[in-house]
Amino acid sequence: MSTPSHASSLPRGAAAQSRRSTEPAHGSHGGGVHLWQRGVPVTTKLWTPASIALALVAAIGLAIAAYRMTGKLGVVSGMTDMYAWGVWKTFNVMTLTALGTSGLSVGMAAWVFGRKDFHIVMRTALVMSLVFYFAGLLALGIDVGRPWNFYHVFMPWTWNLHSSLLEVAVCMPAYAFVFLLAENLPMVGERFFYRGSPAMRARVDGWRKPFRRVYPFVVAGAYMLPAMHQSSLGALMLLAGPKVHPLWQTPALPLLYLMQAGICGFAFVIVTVMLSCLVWQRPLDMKVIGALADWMSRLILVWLGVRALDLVVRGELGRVLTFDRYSILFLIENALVLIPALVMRVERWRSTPQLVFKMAVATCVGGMAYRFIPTTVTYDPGWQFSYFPAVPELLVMLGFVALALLGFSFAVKLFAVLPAPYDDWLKSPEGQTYVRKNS
Amino acid sequence: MMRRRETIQQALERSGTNRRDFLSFCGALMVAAPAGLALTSGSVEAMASTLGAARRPSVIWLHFQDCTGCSETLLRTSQPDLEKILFDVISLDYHETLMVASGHQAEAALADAMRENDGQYVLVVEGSIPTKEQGQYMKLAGKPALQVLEEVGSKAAAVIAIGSCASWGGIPSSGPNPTGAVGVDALLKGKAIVNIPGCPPNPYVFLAVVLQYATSGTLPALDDERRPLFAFDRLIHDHCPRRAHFDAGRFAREFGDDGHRKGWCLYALGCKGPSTHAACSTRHFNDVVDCWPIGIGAPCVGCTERNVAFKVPIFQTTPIHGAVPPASYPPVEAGSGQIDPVATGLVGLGLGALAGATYVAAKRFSKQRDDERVPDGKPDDLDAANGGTQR
Repeated sequence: MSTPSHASSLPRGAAAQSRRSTEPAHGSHGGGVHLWQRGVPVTTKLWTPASIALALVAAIGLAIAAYRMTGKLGVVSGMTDMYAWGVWKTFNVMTLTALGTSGLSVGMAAWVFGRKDFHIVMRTALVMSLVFYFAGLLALGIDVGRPWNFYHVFMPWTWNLHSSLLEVAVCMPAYAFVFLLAENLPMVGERFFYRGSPAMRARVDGWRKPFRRVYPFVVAGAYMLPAMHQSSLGALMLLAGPKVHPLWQTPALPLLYLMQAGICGFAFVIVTVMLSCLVWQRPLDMKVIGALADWMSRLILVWLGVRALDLVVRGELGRVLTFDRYSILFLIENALVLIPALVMRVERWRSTPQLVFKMAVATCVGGMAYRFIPTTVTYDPGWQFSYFPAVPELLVMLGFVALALLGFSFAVKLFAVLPAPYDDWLKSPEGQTYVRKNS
Repeated sequence: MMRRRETIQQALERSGTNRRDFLSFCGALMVAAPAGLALTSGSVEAMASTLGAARRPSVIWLHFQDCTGCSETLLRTSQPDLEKILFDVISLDYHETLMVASGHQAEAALADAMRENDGQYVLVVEGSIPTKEQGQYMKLAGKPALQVLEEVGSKAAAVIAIGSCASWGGIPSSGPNPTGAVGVDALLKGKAIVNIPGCPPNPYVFLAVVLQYATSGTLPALDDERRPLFAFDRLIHDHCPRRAHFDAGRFAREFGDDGHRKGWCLYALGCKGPSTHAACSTRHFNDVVDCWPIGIGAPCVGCTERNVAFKVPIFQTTPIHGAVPPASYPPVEAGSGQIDPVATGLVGLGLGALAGATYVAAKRFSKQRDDERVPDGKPDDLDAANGGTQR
């Protein structure tokens, strides 16, 4: 971090003047001027002490993951034949890809529901989706018992069409490798356009037109596929039947899983953007953040409504207040999303940075808990089978998370991802240096 | 010499059996004889005409190192009646346990039968033959068993080795095998030998082989161990009435436990059904339904296999060959995860670090409404000049 708070060292008046007006009002947050104008790269060095530490953790995880390939799963993990739901599946895939659904939820709000003010955080959301999906797929790759059979994914005539895991196995890689990469392509092209040779600039310009033509289809696919596999992850738990506690096991599980992914997407974009502004010293645009928090809270209320309705219809409402360990877990998990939902209904509170941050964190924790609990805590495979992750297993899990975060930090330094007041930044010494060096 | 020309029908008529009884006898035989036997593929009438026209074969039955269990199991067949078979269908000329004669009279009967039916009779051998010390461990009318087998066997048209002992040595040959016991096929080279192993063997398999020889003069198709394919071509496991329990992973773990009482699969108790070729699971013993080892809750010991019974420990489980799903089933017990203190510490440390970092980070965000300045936590001069920070 070279020189903190360059942007903020400008007079406030200048910042206010440079705000340009955006689209007409959308609800209470759409109108007026926005502080954030477009994505601006982080200009600190690629390798900082923090990123070196992340790389070390990732290296340890990858080394153990490579070692796992020398033997069976039991070499490094606590999984057994009877209990095969380890943390790689339940945390890295089930839970972290929920956070990585920001590209779906914010994207749908922006493109489908016409919230153009959300486009400013779209790149952050898409990079976050990309890194968490790829980290999740990596985890899945070492978690499957026979990874050498993975090539069958590319041979549709060998598919087992009766497997609900097939949907996840085919859909997730397809989304990550085709749609997510394509969605992230513009910022890469932009870098080559602005920093490449004139010949490169002309080539990128030539690609822009055909890409624009297919982009709507890319976007459509990028919303259909994750909607399919995020609900399929819930459907997987549906197959577990009575092994999952009745408070969580419901035919509505796919819908609840999908909606919860959407909530997590919004909450995690708020957390990511705010933390990035803290780490890389950028001003906050409370209009955008407040609007995201508003969507998050509305979604939570609908989700809680569906969940309550489901309990009533299934006649399991009585279990909520038995105050055994499951009931308490259920109450905590729901309180973690209910409180943010209620607090964020108040307009004054959702424009207060610290409160928004705390509530978004609480929602993330609650949402992750909901995705994590049915696969682990309340999942009972019967007899006396139990599972506890082994140390190397946890290190691999941690390594993949570190890898994702490292990927994110590299992306924001190489590409114009994080939102900032562009005009102010251009005038600032930091922006001047950047433009001089790269022009 | 007169007996050789007499047909089975003539013998039955002579003993007062009418046509009706003969047909019902043939019907019982068709029901009792193992499936796949050429003789039983037609109608009852067809069988009666074939059988009736056949000449009664002379049968000489020798006992060596045996327990007479094979003869005993034969005596416990009643459908069709054994006495009809022994007296009218075949001509049992020599059988130490069943014959009335004894001493010199018995030996004279053997000599007569051999002389009258030279090269025509069927030799049935029960029990293994001791070979150590010039075969002195067993003598028959003063002659070593080795010599008796050589003399009688050399003039036989066909040899049926009944029981595991005669087939390949059986119990007497199990380690340390003090008498050097071997089966018939180790001694009579170049003879047509049919092994009907089992301890005891299934009597109907024996009857089927004898009847086929009597009617057509041929012996059934054999496998590598000279066992008739019609009775030994499949595994007990493939037709076991308890197979459903095996497939479902329901195993008796101890004699008398809950699973054993409920008739669960005996595989875990060492049942050799999965590696034993025999028809026991479909053709039971003593004319009693379900009267066979697995039927009464005793694991199969694999007595019809040369390398299983008396070679592999009774309670040792046998390897499952071929792609049967249950072989890949997880064990029913065990599989509890250990709560590792290091892992717990690691999780705790990670969660603690995350919670701490989140708390510290949250503190650095402004508590002021619409405060869009760079989140910093340290009010600087310019901020103060622009209206102050109330953080």
